[in-house]
Amino acid sequence: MEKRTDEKLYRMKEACAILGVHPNTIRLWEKRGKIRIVRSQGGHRRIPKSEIERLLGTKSTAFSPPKAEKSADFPAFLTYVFSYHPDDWELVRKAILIRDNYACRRCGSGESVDVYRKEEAGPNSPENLITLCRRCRGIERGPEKVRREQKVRPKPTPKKPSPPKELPRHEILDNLKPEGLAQRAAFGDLLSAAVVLENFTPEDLAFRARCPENLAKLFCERMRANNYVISKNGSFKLNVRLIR
Amino acid sequence: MTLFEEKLGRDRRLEDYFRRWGLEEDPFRPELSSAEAFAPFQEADLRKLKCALSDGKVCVLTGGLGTGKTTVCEFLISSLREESLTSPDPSKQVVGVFIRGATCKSADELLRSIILGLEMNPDKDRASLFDILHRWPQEHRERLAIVIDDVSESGADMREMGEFLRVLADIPGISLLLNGTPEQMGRFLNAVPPLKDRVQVTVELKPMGREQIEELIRLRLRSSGCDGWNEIVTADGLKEIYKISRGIPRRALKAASNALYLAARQDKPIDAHIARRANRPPLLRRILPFLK
Repeated sequence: MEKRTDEKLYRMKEACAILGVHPNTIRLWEKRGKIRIVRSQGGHRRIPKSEIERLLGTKSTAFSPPKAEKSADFPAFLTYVFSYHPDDWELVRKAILIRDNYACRRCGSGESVDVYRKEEAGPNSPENLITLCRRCRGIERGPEKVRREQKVRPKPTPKKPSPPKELPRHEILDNLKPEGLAQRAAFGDLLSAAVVLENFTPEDLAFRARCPENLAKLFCERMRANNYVISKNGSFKLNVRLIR
Repeated sequence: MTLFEEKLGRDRRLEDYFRRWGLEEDPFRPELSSAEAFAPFQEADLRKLKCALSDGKVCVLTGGLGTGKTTVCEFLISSLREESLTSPDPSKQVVGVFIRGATCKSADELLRSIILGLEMNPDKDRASLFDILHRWPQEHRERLAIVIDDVSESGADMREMGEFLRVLADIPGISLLLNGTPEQMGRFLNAVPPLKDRVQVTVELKPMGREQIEELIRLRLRSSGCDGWNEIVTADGLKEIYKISRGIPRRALKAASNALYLAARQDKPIDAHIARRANRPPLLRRILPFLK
């Protein structure tokens, strides 16, 4: 049991009302050591005022919108992000926040905003993603779901990569749909190079397989469309295993 | 650091020597890919071979040990591939397949490795695999060039192999290039007269001349990024290397590599003396030259 202080102590219900969270969340925070909690003589939790002020303080500064204006190149940046790195959640989230000026699209407030998918199962695309504050998010999803939503982590996690498939060479090359046999042979070389390198950029592949860079780029794009590679920040990781 | 280096210490002298000349590793490695360094020689013959390969003919390339038969084949394949990638018209494209004959123990295996070389599914029965090649001119506009290295060294029956190659040679749009030493190739072709009849181009690689050996050495040095590529080997050194190699490129590279290591030990450029010392036969052989 902790020592008593002269500070004002809140009951669980009051603290929840002030902080806007579920009691279970506070219990979790205590377990993880994120909050200092005092116990009453009967063993009940009491939350000191200083802790509540501290938490309110950190919550309000969670997202500070940058001062700079959106640059003229922003649309190009947005297209780049969504055509090359749609799976990189941090990058996508940042891009959408900049697009929506770090403000909720429903009410316009800038407090506790985050990026959500309109359709949970839908893809990461500029149309499907939206910046909302936590309250509006609850309204969008319907009133009965508000509480449950708070338990779930607020940001949707990116899809987990599926375990590498095992395929024979010719099947992979069939699925890449090369135009003509010469390109097929070049794709074969690139595939061999990719198997050796595992993590690669199109330039690495082109250098190793001695073929033009635009072909290596095309190869990487088609591999990604077939889910044979995972892309991250311009480099690729092989997600398929060859069987002989 | 490897265990070997831990026990012996690193070869600082060699590393220093290489670094001073701007080298990263031995530029005279014999297994260097042919597209990277290749000295042009017998240009007319090479052009003839390439023309025949893209025309659906049967060619034979012979030459003694180490004269660069395999290198020429690889070079032809990579140049055909490069041209095919840049030309948009599929009827002008040539798909090259390079096969090492020594790994094929029968005509069946040869057929499978051709299909594998084309990046197609080889897990079918023999008839349907052969059908792919048989209907090649009907189904594909590209032409096919099959290059078989050391065809006579495969363990297969010569007749069986020869018959199979004869059938392949009769398919329009498919060209063949066979290579091997002159004696082996002669024996192989004599065993299968119908194939011998169909050979249209025969090229024999001869030992290189002195300028060509010198060009090969310089080219290797230059493409490895050597700083003073015309100073690291003196003119006398080049002459000596040519004398040792007697015009055989593989021997020249070996001699140059040996000389380079000795030169690093003595910290001098490669001159005639070093080239000679590095490639000296063992003492007993020098005294009694008839000993093998």
